[in-house]
Amino acid sequence: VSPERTPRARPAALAALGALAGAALALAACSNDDPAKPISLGRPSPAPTTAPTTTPPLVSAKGRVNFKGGRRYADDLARGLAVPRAELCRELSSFDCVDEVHNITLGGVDPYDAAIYRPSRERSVSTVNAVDRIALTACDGRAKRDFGDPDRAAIFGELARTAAAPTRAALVATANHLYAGLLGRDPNADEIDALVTFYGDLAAELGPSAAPARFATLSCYAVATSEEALFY
Amino acid sequence: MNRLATSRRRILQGLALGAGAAALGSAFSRQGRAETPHDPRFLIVLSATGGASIVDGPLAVRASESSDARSINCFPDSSVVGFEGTDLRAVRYQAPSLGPIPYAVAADQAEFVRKHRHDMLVVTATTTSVNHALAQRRSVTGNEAWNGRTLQEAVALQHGRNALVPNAHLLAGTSYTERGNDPSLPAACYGESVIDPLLWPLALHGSRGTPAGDRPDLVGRARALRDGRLQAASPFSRAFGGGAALSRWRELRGPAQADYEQADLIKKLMLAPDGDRFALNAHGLAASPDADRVREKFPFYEFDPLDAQAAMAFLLLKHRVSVAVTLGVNFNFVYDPNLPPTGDGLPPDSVKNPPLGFDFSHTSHRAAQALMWQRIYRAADGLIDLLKSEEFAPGESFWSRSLIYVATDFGRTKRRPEGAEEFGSGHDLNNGFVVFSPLVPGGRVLGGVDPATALTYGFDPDSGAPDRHRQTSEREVYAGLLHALGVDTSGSGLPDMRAMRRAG
Repeated sequence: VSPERTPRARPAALAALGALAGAALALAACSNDDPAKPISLGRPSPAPTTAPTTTPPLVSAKGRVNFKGGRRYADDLARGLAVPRAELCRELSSFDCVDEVHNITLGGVDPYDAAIYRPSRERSVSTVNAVDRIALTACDGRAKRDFGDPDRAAIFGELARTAAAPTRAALVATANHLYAGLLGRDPNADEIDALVTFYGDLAAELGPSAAPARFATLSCYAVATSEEALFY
Repeated sequence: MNRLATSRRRILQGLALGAGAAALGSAFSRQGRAETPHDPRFLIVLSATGGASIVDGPLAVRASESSDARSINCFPDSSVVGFEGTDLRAVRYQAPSLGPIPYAVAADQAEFVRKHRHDMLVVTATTTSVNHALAQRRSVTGNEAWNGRTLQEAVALQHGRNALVPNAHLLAGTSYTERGNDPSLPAACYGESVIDPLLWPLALHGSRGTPAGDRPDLVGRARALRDGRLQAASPFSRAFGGGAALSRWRELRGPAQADYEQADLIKKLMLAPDGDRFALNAHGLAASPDADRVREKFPFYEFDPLDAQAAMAFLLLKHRVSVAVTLGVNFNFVYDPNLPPTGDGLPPDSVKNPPLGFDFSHTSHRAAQALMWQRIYRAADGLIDLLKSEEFAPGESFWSRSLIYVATDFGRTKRRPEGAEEFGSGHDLNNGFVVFSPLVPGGRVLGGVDPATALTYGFDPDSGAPDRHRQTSEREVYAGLLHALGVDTSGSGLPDMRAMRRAG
């Protein structure tokens, strides 16, 4: 296979991909911090006995994925950020974002009040906005908890525990926590670099005192609203 | 439509293609093909869910006119108000109770009809289903007259080019707002569900009002990071990014989301007032500048879904966010919680919607119809007043290009137990539809009603002359409404219903 060409996945490989997509990709990525390296389908890679070969990433021929929907997404987000589900997000500090405000646009049903018995298959811009709002609120909530009590931090401890500008190691650790919590895998090298660069941009504008907390919320938001976090 | 009109429209289409393609803020330009970009007309589907009987409203029959007055559904002469220069009528009705509900009903349609009769048209019709869901759907698809495309979708396609939410479904849980069957339309033409008009505006911005909303620029950078380097590095996105679901998602959260946010809809459409219940200011938000006068017109917005829907419908039209809005009553009991029950029954004006809406007629026909017609008229009145007050262009109000279609499931059975004032009714195909608009020949009844049976009859589609041997179909009503709204139906095979268009 020419490395310049994107290969089409074979049917057998696709079947495996469809069945194992989430778990397989997560497992694959655990040892895959180079985006140019091949994606495993979940089988442990044998120890290399010869020089490593590069294989382009797998691409699904049909790309069939499903939107998680509001409640599944909120459950995953709450678990990933170690935030109680009931405290994840409240619009105007009063209305549960998922159950009350954005339920239908996120693909929910409301048989009793609105007589909506079937979830909508259509996504709209309001769905995108709802997801953004939930993630921003949830991530900010996690950041406030961690910066308020660094010793019990769940995600952003390395950022919160240092008074000085965070080291690269602290940023990498933060990236690892985010990806492990929200996507169930480790970040690869390019993802880590992207986040570290993002922190640098924020720090240049906001200064070292304000940047860590803002970075915590926004990096979390970026990962929590990624396609990988929203679809399966 | 006549050939001349069609040709002119096609010329306009051709002329405007270049300019229209550059228009920003268009749901179509983001998501599908373009359609005629001339000045929009606006459709308001006001759903009279449950079966609004036309002979309990504008086609009421006086007892003195009927040869079978004691057995058909007609009224004492003194209860039916006529208006000079029109065949439209109104009913004045009072009853000590709403069937078994201890609530005194007092309804008077006369003031409304007198006020709006010049923009009021009744089109008699005989429909094809007495099943609620089927009948509702057929009343907005003309019984699948044009590939299953709903009226709202057709108007969205024709006029919604520059609208962010061309087709807003404010009423949930009925078949008036089901998606049509025509799969060829751009995605934006299919309705967007607005379940709670008070909270929905929050879904029109991705960050404002959230803890990160103070720096939308930084949120924008985080989005760029996510959609750029992180997405490119994600094995998941690389594997599945070519599929339909993620392609659609990327469309929505790219320029389309930016259009919403730049349009500031979260403020323009924020109907709720700042206060204890909706802490807007504390979250960096504010009510719409129009909210005060809209809430004044629909003061029950906090507990009556119809008031909230009507208020949002106006804001959507005024800001040209939508060109088709659907609102209406549903089957839920709506009661004013600020008026506690007394020992003498429910207080006056406390019951806004009986259980089952118009379909409470099964239990108490006349009281339910009287209460519900008044409810529909009140919503229409508020919308017309607001749209008249809003300038679309110099010397032209929004109302001048709006049409309210009072869609309903079907009529009600016409007979009653001899001499009974309190009775229940069933579903009946024979009925008619009410339309309010300067775009239709106002003050007219197309067709008529036989006072001996209370059954309606049809009219000549071209001249509008009554025809006792003809019944108007759902398909014809559908065509007439679309033509009044300037929708190009070329190639659809729909009939020309010239009688439903205002001359000139």
